[in-house]
Amino acid sequence: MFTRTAALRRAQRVAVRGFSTSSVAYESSVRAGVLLQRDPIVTQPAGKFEEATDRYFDWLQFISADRFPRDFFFKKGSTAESKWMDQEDIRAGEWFFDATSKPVVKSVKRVIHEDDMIEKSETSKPIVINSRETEADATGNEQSLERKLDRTLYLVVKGAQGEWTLPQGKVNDEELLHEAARRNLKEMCGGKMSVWMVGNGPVGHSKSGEASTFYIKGHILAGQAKANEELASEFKWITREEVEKTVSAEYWLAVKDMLSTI
Amino acid sequence: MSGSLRAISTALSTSQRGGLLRATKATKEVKRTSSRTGGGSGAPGHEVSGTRYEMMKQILYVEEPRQLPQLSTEDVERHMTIMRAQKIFNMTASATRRAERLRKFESMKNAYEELAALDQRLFDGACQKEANATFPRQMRVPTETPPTKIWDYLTK
Repeated sequence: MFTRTAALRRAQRVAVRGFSTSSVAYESSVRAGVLLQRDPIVTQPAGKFEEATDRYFDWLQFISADRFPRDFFFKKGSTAESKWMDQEDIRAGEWFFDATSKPVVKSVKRVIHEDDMIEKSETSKPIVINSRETEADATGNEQSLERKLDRTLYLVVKGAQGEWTLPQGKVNDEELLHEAARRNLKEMCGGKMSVWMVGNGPVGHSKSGEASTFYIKGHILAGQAKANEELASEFKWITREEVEKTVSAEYWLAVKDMLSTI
Repeated sequence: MSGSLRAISTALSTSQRGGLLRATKATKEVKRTSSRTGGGSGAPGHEVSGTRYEMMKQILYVEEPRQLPQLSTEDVERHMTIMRAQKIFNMTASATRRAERLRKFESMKNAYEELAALDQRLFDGACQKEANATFPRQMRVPTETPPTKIWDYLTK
């Protein structure tokens, strides 16, 4: 009787331990991460071919269009008129067909009398166009969100073991993947960040040993990441090519298909 | 309409073709009209109505064939080459974009399959759709040049 109870107890203990080990294995087998991206702020630069064809088709449209009724739209001697005249002269000077067929073009500019001149207001300021290359590009600051404005940037963090990955962590009991992903991002990179997560499902996954990490996609709208020393020592905002150079070869193979080339 | 002009005209859009066929010397006409003093045929109270309507009519309805250059065979050939090159360029670009979309979709599909194999509860959670999905207004469309304040770091 006694031996039987002891055996039962032992069996129960084994069962409990067995359950707890399997529960630990369960916890570590699925992890949740975030593919956080900063979207391009400026458009893609036009290539040489695109520039050339655009110029040709623009010109074709120009020579085949109805004449613009200048007198109807512009006041005589106004700044808008003089700007238009400059533009018109430049375009009329171009010729993409045989040089022999080029007509003699008369400048659209006319002599502006002093009476027609409109006084320029003192408050008018010249418009300054911002450069597409920023200070962060010049200094090579990889933590800045103002670098590589024409590209998508991804947030990568340096883990406790010193390897670079996308931000990730455990999935707790009763927690869904997207909830865990959000919590992990907050714990790891906290700070003030306005983030928009897209959907509840993963856009990709990676494996390391027993664990599989599933990534939920998110866009950063404002704010900045701040590495939590306990979980991550550093963070970077980098492009697809830079991710390839930063992460391990094995990890790159797992995540490369999720990342945009633009 | 000569053969070469027709060839180039078919390559253009409708609005461009309209320009080819219905050419005007509007500026000249307008000049002639505006030099005349306007009649008072418009609505009462509109002092310039007569001149203005005349002007608009001239701009809209003056029909005088526009003189376009006689295109040489080389011109037409050059034009067709440019058209073809642009078509090839666009096709290549769209094929690249499509390949990227496909590999992203494959990656997502593989992730879902793996998740279903590992944990049914998480898979069901991932398949749930948000009841009132919203789109953030702070998302920006890329522009030619950056804004003066490029990024809002939320520091006050």
